[in-house]
Amino acid sequence: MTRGSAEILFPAALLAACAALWPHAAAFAPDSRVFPAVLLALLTAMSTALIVRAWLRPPADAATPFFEHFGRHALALAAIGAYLAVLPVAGFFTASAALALALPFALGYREPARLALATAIFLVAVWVVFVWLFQRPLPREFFLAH
Amino acid sequence: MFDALLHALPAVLSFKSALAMVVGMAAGLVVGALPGLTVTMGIAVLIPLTFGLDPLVALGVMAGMYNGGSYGGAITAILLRIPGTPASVATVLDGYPMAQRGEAGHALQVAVVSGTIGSVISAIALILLAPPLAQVSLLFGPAEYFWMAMFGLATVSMLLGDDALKGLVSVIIGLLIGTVGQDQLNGSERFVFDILDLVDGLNVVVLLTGLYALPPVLLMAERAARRGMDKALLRFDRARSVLREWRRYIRIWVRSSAIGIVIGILPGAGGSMTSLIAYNDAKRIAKDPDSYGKGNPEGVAASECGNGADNAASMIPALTLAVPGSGVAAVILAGLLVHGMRPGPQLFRDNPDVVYGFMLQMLVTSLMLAVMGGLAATRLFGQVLRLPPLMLTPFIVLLTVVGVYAVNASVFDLWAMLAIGLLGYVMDRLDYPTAPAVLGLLLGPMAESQVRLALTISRGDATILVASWVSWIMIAATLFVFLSPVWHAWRARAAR
Repeated sequence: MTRGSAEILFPAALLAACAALWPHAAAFAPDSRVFPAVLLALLTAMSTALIVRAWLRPPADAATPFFEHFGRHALALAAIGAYLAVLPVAGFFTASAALALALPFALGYREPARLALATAIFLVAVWVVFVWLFQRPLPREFFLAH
Repeated sequence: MFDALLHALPAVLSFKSALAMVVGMAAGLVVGALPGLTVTMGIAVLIPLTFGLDPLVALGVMAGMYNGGSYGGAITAILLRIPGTPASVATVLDGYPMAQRGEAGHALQVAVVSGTIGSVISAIALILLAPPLAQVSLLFGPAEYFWMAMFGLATVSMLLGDDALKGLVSVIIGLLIGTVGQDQLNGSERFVFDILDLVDGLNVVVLLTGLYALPPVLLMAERAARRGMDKALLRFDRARSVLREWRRYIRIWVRSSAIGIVIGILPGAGGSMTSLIAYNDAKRIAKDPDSYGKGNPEGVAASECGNGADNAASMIPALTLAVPGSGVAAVILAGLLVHGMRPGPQLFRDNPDVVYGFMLQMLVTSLMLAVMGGLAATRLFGQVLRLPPLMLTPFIVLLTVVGVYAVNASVFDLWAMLAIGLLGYVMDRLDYPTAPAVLGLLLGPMAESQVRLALTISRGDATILVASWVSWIMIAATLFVFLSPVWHAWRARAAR
């Protein structure tokens, strides 16, 4: 995908979102309907203007690729998605240690000792500030669940 | 007043009070820097711990945490593009590009010096002008607040980026996200889709971390750089001392401080709006406005000075009228009540030592910020950038996840953050400014509820929206902002 096509696809996606949200907004209580309806109308008009502008007057860098490296982008996104899926099951510290060690390795980082040390320091700091000091809840570790 | 100040001074400078301010500021720097932890939350956690302490010692902790937390947000904003607080969004715009080109130390120095100057001027305003300035906030009713929100949104969307249309689209995205959840006035649900986690709407931390922290994570992964930043680049550069370049910044500091104080005394208006309006003002008067957003230190100076100036100013209506100007001011009022003091005019009559002592503590902690903020930022937090970006990538994800989860303990919020992160990535790549979306989320509910409240008070008579001279000033300012790009284009054409 190029920058030029993204300049059209993004406002087109916004237009589609407006079309999908419009029936919901129309069903709100009369007092609650006006503000979102006005916003959806404005967004529809502006998205259309952006599409027309990008079509008639493409940006100077229209031919440049949208992603710098799509493969690594997809890998990072998949890793973050998997991390969020595993988090409630495995627990915060277990899932986080796995992501902190696996993602850099998968992207080509090859200093495991340094990585392990930094991960340990980071997770201890998180535990001290968030759990011990401010007692914020974090997903419970799977081995402590029972 | 001066007698009361002199009387309070020894207690403020006592060992216990000084220690309380240092501890409060250290905690504030940490709390402000970490997304998910807020100064409001930090002070709320501290209040029970201050039972039994002398009121001035307890207030010293709160003053330190307030000023420290206000600056702490800038640290991660500059180094990692994670705004610790909404007020740091404007700091990201130029601070992060500076860090990326190896000027992290200088960016932090500009931030801490500017934040200190803003805080000091604001504290002096609090001491000298509290009673007369508090009257200004009484001029604002629902209609005036609506127009003020419109002015803030217009300023940010029209002037922040290079493309006004994209700025407007960004602000509408934020306004729409702000409508998600229960209607504040009648409780009906909007865009909830039977998802329980959406009933209370999306927390601003979800939007902040999604829009600002995840896009650079994805970009770092794409670039896969294996070398961290050189240690020398994180040092404060004596040759480029901000104070030596004071002529460059003085106009920005004066204007941003004035903006911070005026907006800070209006209840509910401060925080992110102050720093963004100060930033836009600096950009508007700059000789090279195109360099803003690309790593111009003046942008950092304006944002942090405005942010710092908001702090003590928001305490003016809180102390004099018992009307808190911000969430933090509300919690500090609660702290005063816990210690048996009733905010309002009677506070100055019954407890002058405490109230003037607290004002002095706001001033002293503002000055302390220069030392503690500078040292903490460079010696501790700045070292993070020495890690290779590849190693830093998952750590930023973990920090955002823990910050977002800490707010509501909701896994749904994490997925929402990821979705907003992807939206932020696309917006970044296509040069849509993201700050208007954040301000839209913050000011949208206020604008909507205030206009509906005004119309309810007037029984549907829309002329209430233009009934006062304050409203007309706000309308004129908003129109000026909307027309300024047309004016600039006309001038440029005339010059050619």
